Amino acid sequence: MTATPTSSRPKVAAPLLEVEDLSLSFRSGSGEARVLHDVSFSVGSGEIVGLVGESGSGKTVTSLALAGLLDPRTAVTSGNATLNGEPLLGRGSANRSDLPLAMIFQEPMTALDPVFTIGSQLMETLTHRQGKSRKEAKREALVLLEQVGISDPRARLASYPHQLSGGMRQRVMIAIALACAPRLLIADEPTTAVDVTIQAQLLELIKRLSVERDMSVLFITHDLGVVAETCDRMITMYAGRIVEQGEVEQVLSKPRHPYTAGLLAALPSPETRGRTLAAIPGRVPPPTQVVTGCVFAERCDHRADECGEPQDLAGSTHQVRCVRSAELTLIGAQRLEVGR
Amino acid sequence: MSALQKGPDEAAGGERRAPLLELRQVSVRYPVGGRRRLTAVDAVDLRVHEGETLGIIGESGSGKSTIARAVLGLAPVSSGKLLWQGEDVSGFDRAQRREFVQAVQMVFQDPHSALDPRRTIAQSVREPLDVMRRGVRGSRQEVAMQALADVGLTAEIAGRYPHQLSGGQKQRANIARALVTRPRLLICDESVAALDVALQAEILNLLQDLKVNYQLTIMFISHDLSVVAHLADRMNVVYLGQVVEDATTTSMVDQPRHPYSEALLSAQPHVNLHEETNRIVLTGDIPSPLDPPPGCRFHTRCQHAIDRCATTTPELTEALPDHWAACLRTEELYGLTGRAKELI
Repeated sequence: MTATPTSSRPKVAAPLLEVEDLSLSFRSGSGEARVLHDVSFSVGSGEIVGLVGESGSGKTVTSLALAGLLDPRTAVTSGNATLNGEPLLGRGSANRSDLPLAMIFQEPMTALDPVFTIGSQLMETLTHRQGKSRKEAKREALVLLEQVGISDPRARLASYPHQLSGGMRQRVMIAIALACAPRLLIADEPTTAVDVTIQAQLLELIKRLSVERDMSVLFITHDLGVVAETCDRMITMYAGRIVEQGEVEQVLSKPRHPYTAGLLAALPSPETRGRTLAAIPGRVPPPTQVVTGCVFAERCDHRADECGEPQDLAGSTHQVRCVRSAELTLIGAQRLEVGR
Repeated sequence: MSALQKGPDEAAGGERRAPLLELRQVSVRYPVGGRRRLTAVDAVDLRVHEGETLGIIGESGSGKSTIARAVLGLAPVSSGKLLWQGEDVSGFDRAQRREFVQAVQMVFQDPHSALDPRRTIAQSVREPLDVMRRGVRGSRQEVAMQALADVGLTAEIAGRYPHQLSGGQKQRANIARALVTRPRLLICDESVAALDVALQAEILNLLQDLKVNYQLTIMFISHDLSVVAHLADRMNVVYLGQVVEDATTTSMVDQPRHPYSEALLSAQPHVNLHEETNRIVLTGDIPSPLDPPPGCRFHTRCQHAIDRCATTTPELTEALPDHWAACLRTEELYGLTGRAKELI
């Protein structure tokens, strides 16, 4: 799979981010809760990879582990993760700041400091991470604000977060992330809190920056529509495990895991009007529950005896963790062969 | 066409009964210090017919929630009329008022904050009946338990507290609470926005079932076009406190007649690819309702705006049969078929 209809940019063979057998448990009074189970994936240079799943599927905690934002006193990680060859796990916070990695969050209002101006927060990152003088930092800050599409950047430097709209704040967050000169941007539901018109603007911005800066993006979302429009590849997570991953076109048009197919079937649209949506009954099992076989089995319509056995993630470019995937015909999204 | 500047239903033809709920030129204004006033809802005409699901869609700040709050009496109606089955609500006596309050119920966005953390689910669901002092306590409890059963919650859950429930269960409890007074109109304000796609599907299915079983009329407010299009028979698009387009869902989705609706439809990310789509990305944010643009309020973000749009306020006119749009250029842009972008 070198080129897909969705992306025209060339893929680099060596991945930028490599995650191997990442496992994570949280220690608590009542014991250990295992929230990630041998998660392995990679993100190529300049590639946008979507990480999808319901709440509780482990997508956010994966990104927090990679960004080193988990408390080492309670979070126990194992496995390997490298960014551009540099190990990501087990680093102290001190030598983290030279990693070319940045993260943006769902709610920019809580991610920005309300008592400092946009300018000072942006310049702080530039002086701190890139060792720039205040003068240089200010010049660079203006350039960054312009790049993320903020009009009248000079005036905006003196603004406080509450003076900006939600879309503008998220643009500022992206500018601050860019100030770290990231090769990898982790975007955790960056458009969930904004309106659909603003979402369209932000998605265009993220796509454009990814191309312009050859920046990879790990895009965490529960919105399959956003994945379809933005990402090159996608990873479906369920209960702390990767259950399916592959090129977006393939996974959406021909899903091979019943959970991915279930998420697609649950989407409302003008075409589903008057019909009953195919809901996925039940809930994500709690992390304290030990499951030996397929973790999705208890909610799955296609459950059979062999689902009680441990399941592996199988396949080359389109991987799936389901013993029955070969015999199942799952309904995907209707996608035309032509690209966009 | 411009002569036809009346409310959507008058021209619909045929004898229709008075709408269950009608808003006539309703405005909601808030004082914001000094002499300034914020007009959250500006002269809105709206009709909800019995048995219909009316979707109201718009961005945050468009005033869609304020419309719902005005209906419930939670926001002040500064001018205009609210008609319930053709009768002015402001003229209601005590008994009529009481009946109206029970007949219109609301399900809020955040299922968690809408429930009292110190009450059990059964207590919360029974509360509207307790407040109304309907019947004896035992029968109220029975009604509450029945409503809980109808939304798919077991008696075991009724004894629990909100923090012991999942998001989906909490939203079911909120719906049950709205049902105990046997309402005729259920207003759902972003009722599925806080839920995952799988749960969202469950709640949407539940609402459709309840609509039949409880003979409900639903006013569904959302920013999510795919949710509204799935549920609603008719849609109203709201921008900066004004209705800019009013049409049946099919007509709206297939042939929007206002550039704002068209942009909203186009901005919606979708997993299904139908055609080579040229996405319309609106620039900028929704302007502040404190200082709305003159003329057509959308002209500052509209790619088709001409000089006249900044000075003349468009009225809702019938662009297609039973399809109303407030755009000066609708005929010129869309003609009778086709979309605006072909013209550019």
